[in-house]
Amino acid sequence: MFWFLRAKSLGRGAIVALLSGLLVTSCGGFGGTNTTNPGSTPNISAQTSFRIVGEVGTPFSARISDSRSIWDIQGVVPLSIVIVNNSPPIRISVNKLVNDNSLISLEIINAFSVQSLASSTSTFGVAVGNYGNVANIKPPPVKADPDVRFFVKGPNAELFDALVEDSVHGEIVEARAPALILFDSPSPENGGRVDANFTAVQFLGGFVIDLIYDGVLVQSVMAGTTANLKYH
Amino acid sequence: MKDLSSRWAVAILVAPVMLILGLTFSGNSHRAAAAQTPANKGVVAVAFISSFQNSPNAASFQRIMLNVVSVRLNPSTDPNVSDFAGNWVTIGVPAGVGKSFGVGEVSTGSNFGGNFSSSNNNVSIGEGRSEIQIDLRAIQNIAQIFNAQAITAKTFHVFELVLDTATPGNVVPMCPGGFPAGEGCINYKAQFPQITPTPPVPLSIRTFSASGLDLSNSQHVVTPLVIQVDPGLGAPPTASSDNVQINPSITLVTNTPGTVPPAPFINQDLGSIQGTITTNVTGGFVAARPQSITARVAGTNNIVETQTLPNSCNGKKTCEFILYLPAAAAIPSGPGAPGGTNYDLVASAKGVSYAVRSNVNVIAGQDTDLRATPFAVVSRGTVNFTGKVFDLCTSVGVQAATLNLLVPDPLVTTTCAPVAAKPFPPAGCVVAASAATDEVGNFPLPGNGNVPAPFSVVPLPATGKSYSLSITAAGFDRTPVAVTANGGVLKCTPTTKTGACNINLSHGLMTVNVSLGSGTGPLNVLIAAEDTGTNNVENLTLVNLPGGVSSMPFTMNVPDNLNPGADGNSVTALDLFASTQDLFNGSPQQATGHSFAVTADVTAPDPPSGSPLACAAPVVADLSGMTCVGHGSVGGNVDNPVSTDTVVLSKDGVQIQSVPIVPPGASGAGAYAICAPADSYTLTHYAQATPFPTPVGGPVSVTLSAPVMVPTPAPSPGFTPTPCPGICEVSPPNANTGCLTCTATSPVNGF
Repeated sequence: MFWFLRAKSLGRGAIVALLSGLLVTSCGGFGGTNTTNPGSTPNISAQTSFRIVGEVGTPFSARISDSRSIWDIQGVVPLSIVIVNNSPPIRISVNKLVNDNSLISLEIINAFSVQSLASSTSTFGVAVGNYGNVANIKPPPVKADPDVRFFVKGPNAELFDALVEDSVHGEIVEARAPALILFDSPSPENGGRVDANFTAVQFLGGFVIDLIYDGVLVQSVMAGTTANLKYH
Repeated sequence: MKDLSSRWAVAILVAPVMLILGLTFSGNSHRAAAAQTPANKGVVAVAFISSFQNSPNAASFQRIMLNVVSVRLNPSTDPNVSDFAGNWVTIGVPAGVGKSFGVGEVSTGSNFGGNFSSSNNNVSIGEGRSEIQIDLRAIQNIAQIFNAQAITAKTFHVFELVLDTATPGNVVPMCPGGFPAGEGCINYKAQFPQITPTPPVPLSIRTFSASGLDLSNSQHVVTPLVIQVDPGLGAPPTASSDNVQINPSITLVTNTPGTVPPAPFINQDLGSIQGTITTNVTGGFVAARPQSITARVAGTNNIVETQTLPNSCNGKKTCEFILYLPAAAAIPSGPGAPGGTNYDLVASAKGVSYAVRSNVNVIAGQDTDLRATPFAVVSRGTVNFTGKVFDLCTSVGVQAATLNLLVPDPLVTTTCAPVAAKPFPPAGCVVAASAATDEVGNFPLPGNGNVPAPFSVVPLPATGKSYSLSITAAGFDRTPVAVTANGGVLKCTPTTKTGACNINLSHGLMTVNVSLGSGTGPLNVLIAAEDTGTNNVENLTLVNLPGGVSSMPFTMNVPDNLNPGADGNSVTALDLFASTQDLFNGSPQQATGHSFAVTADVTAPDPPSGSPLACAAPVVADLSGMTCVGHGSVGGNVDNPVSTDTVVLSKDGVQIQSVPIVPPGASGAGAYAICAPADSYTLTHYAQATPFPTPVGGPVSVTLSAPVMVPTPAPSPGFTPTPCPGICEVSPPNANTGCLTCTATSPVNGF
């Protein structure tokens, strides 16, 4: 029900936004009437994201850790990874899983700023990187708990916007499929409820998105240029 | 929360409206794009090749990398055309990620909050710029294509290489032979020359060509834009906190008019392939079903280039094509002759069969003519091929598995079915299509409206014929599956479904007791398992040793003892090695400072058994003795180098590292460079061969020099030395009085 009410809210916003278009900014922007008093919400810290590019199709495993969570990921090039509600410093190790000299290149981005790059062309080569000084952090004893992942598999190369939320916190994300969104330490309120709303920018095809919660595929969508996913 | 949601919804949905207004959908970059090139456009493939003529210190570095954003082209004949002038065309270098449109801001006129900009007045929606790091060491004397894009078919004269302005590159120096010097084998940032008074940061590195890159007459080819990059590398660092100066320059490797029709041009760093495709489809080739020809690195699924037949072929049943591909130079005689680079070629389209050719040798500056034996595609139904890959022990989906659909080259073999004790895939088998599984094991990953998904246009095999599907995933047995046609859909054997191919991958388990020789965690340890006596790694995993812990067991997937090796025989034993992932000054490094732990010839586990099937009990092995010894490095030159040769570093019979040599024709041909912990090893020169690389001569022993303590200036009034970081320890002994720095080992040559 919560989501239903929210969906109605999103629908109103969507209609208004789409009809208004560029008038939004010329009118002084949405929120001009300020009925919801948006000015009181502080900025969140910048999101950290990663792009793993190189020889398309190269399989890899990656281990990402921030100050409170570890994620193990397997995928293929290219893949974008975004940590929502991140907690730097952040460390990443990307390991090629193939015996050839194909290139794998790791890019670490904080907010919109490229922080560093690393790469390997070795067989089963490793690319490592970090955001922030990681000398003094210890690997957390447990993996992300809960481990919440939104995997936007397609349409390939689609630029999309997403709103990712738990019961007390929401963040916007812009990325390009395929992209994996990791939700670090969502609030336990309401049973650890999480949800996300996705909106395509380029309309290259229908969304293909999975929500994986603690390793279990709990919801998939395979159509449309907008999509809503939730758990709990 | 609901209020916040609606505000965010507005922000999210306004941004697309604004962005869409500024978007153009043409020029979607994808090297495997199968759409026909529009009439007014030509496809350009960005290729780089490195040179170190302006980098006399290059031999002092193990790795030299540039952080590349894009290549820009301008048709202006003014070499100094403004970076902000019109007509610039940008081709992003990372493939498969599309263009980055930067940041769009939605001004709210109020403190909106919850965004990731530094301003409290705007909601910023966007993405960071896509970049790719290119190792110039890996592209010496042989060009490499990174991305392709359809652009307006003009003649371009001005070319720019756009690097990351903040960190244009990274370098890894070898251990120094003299002091003062910074630590070797760690990552340093590169920087452009620092000139005072401070000028504006250069946007890019530029070159001008009066003859230019002519796309106006290149509608029927993918035109490579070969850019030679010299990093202009400065001196190695004198302190571990230094940046290393680079002053890159580029030159265009020009396409000169061709002499062999229909080759429109030749390029000294590319070879060309001419071929003919025939079809029996009524009406011939048609624009609605573009006929593509794809070149892959021979024996792999790595696509180098894809192009479609030009519009002029429409309505014809026979048409010619020409491909330009990166190629090594000719070797007239002796080891490695005739030189060049081998490719597999695949002709494919909707509604027709595959036609393939294996192991086509291409030599730089030369033409390979295949027209005498056409690629014959015939009318055939094409279908979508989907399915799922499972772990045989757990029935859980396998992530990131690779599925290669093999098709026989009729000039070499009639089938790609596995044969006991023979190499798989058999000689002459070409990867016609390749796909990967997603996070739950389903394949293929989606495509989009412009680029179809892998396996979405698979022709049904002819009656009585089959394809072989080779499935690989780290830690699992390499698994072949026969794919046949069954009533208009594809069927896998063995499988449980028709139309969707469900595949079980077998594997075993290995419990590795990892222990440090000294010290405790927190520490990350990489553990690798490889076929015994080879460099063929089967799985690699990362283990966290928690703080205060010096050893712990870890269980990983490894192939079982029925896993077919490259020669077709089962691999019944594995070699293991482990290395720590060390930090230097708070940043993880690729080169470890702890000695490697190795264990050779560990019996591979039995395959799953029982009902229901379950993995056999794990095989137990030990990897111990990782001790902080510091970095070391070794380099030199091998005899009789061939472009695909490697040097392998081994310890106690376990192969640990394999590095390529500098290919013939390049400055320093035969050179190699290795970073490894200061320990004793053997080095072996290997030549590429099928099914295994073969040693060239015997191994040579080497002991890498140990680090030395380089004194730092004593404290004095107004000067307090900063403690030196170490590769293994956050605060090495005597860090306040000296820097523990690795040192060069005498070159090892002539093997």
